Amino acid sequence: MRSLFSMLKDLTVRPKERRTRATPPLPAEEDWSKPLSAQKVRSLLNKSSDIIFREFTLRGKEEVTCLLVYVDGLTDKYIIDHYLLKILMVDFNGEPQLSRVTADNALDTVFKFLAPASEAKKIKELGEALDSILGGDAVLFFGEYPQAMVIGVRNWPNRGVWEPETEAVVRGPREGFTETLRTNTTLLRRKIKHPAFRLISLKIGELTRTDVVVAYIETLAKPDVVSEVLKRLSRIKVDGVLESAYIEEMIEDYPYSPFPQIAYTERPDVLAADLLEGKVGIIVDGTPIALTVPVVLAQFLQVSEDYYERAMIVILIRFIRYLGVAVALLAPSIYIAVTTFHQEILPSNLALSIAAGREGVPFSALSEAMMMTLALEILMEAGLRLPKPIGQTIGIVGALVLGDAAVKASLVSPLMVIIIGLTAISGYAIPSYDLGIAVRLIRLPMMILAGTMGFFGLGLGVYALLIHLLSLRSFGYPYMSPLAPLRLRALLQDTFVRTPRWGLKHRPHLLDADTDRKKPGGKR
Amino acid sequence: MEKISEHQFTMVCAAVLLGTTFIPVGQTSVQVAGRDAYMSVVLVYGLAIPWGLMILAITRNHPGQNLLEVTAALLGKWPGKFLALLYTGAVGYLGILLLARVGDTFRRSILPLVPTTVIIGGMILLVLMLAWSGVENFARFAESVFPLVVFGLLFTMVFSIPRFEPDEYLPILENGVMPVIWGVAKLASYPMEFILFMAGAITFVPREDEGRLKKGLWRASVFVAFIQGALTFTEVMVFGPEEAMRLNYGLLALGKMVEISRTVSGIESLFLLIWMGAEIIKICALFLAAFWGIRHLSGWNKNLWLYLGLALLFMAVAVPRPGGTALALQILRFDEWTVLPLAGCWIPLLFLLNVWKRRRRRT
Repeated sequence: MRSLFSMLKDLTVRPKERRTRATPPLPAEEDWSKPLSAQKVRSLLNKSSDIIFREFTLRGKEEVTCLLVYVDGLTDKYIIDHYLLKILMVDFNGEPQLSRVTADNALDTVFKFLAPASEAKKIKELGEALDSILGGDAVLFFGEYPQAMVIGVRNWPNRGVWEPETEAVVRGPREGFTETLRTNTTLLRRKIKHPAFRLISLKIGELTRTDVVVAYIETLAKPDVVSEVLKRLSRIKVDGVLESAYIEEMIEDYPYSPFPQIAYTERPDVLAADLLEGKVGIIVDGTPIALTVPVVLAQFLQVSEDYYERAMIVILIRFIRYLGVAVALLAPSIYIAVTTFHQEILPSNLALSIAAGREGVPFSALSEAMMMTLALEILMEAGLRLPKPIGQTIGIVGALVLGDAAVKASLVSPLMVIIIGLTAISGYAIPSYDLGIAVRLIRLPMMILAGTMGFFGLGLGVYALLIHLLSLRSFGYPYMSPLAPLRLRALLQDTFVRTPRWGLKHRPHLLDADTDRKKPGGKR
Repeated sequence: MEKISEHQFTMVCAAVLLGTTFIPVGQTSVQVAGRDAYMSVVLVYGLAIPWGLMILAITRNHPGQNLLEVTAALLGKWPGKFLALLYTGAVGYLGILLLARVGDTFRRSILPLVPTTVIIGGMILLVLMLAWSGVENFARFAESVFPLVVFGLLFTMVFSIPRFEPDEYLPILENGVMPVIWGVAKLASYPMEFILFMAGAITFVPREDEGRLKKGLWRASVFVAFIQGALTFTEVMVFGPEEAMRLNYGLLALGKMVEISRTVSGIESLFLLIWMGAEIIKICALFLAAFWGIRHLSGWNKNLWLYLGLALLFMAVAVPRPGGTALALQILRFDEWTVLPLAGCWIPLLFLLNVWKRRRRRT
């Protein structure tokens, strides 16, 4: 009983320390902040076949044995060979600069005169050296000197900037994020060329040491949101972060809610638009999916194209999306409630027509709907993982052949097939996949409630859902804003409808980033 | 400490003031004021304004305290405890009666085969969920559901217009002004139900801009008076005074008569879905008020066990209640003999005492 209550408490209380997972300390972790030593680096990394250790000698005033360490495949060997090793070993041999070199000043001399690299720095700690080497940079050691030089030579095979398949648009930019963090930050920087645009780097994951960047516009984002994001990120203690979803689950406010509390996107224009609204972006290396916080429910029913099309068209499209959510969530439940409990709501002709369709069907409306919904879910799951042509075949076989056969065999009524088909299509009108899944999940209990208690049961479900949604917060901001708490201007400006661009004079009220759009970053 | 905004205060005022009184208001007012009942209804909700202003004035010098705590401060510990006991009993039992009416309404109208226990159980579960999520969330719920309730009422009224019988309207004031005044007296307990809630909820209201609070209270009262008046007027115009007096759930009867373009008819079941929201708000308001009373009496803080216990008590007492006219009469009598005298005397008494003490302190 106690554990049940602690779980219930978890549902409502915002998490603090429970997100951290005790990871056993790694063997090398204790040495992470120790002074640098080439020998130590060699002993830690020499068991991996992809780590290259290249020793050579600088012939200056003294002979200094150098060690260049890098990961094969993550670095540009051409640069290493032609702009580093060739210079140090061949071109400058006998030159005056090199003639001054001793074991003590080798690092400074090479750093100042002999390494033509724009990205270079001196390091003192073992951890920094390991991070740099394993991150794709080359590290140059000078004998047993307790400092080394990092040279930025990262280069690995990566995917190009393509249009994201999951967020395709008719009108709008065609570029999408890639798996490379720096490419992604570059795409953002190209869109926001303002000194207030900030990128803060972190490393998360004890083993993966994944690079994570927190992006925001300093003059627009609320400082408390930024610090809360950084605080929650820094609390994460896991072995690895392979996708931004790992982080999403760790930092969201209510992990047991089916509703997404963090938005994600593959499109730089969407993330840039979010940042311009005062939100904070989280970009993770190794995935094209970037996260945005805080969010409100209405955001999951908007797409980037809403801002590229004419306002009047967007109003209609948004109305259709909201209608889609209502139908996807409630259509089967309403059908069940009406046919089982509230036939009086239908005029006689319609009631007779429905009854004729159900004649010979041996199941109750609830069982019929449950079977059809489960069949639909199986079809959707089966079609999702298959190659496109086979997936389409599955859809046709499932929807047309099986549906038709089930009606002919009097297993289901024709109206039920129409209702479930309409429900499935409406589900696709929801732009966010996460929200769509949440709606699919909630549909089933709604159907059970409607099948057992009619409209009263449906009312119980809808009001329970509303109470749950109203209690949700995303990084402290009410999830149902601007509906509740009511922000009338935001509601009329850019929620159910969108006013023309010239009418969007204020930034979204929902985050209280209530600044005049005409003055970038300036308070109204 | 949770806080609600001025706008939320207005919406909560309107939602709790309207509450579920739209169900019996037609019958109760017509019984006394006849065909002019709508005038009584419009006037009676005005009572919420002076009583509400008195609460604002009393608590102005006692920041962060509700009226129970102010009572203890002004009258002493034991009179304070006694009034808190009365308050808790009054709001708690009223909540239980309204909960019983939900079961009765649904069972009599659209779910005759579903046991009352299930309906009441489902309802109290929602109330518990909403109350547990806090006053801030309660205010947000009121903010989002109240417009739907108003929309449902307006919808019913508009679709009843074709059934209006103009003869029922006249003659105006056929029995003079007195029936209207007696009607006001009869209905005075409705705004007092809200006043009892406000006495406890005042701690959650921001006091920086009292002008906006006053304006919010005034707006909420006028709006609810208008809606309830229009509803009573519609019932009189459609059924006539004699029939309206007889109908226990006149509004549901109106809903049954609505038909939209041969597609949907008898939409009382749909309206019940919307009015369920109003019932959740009103019962939750009384549930919270009962909890504040218990907290004042016992010193217990918010915890899930206490909420669960209170919810179970509500359910256990509500389930065996009789339904129909007997229940309607019980609610009416409890309102007239407990809620009205308690709120009607307690708050003016405190107000006068507060004023007197302040003047004495000045001199």
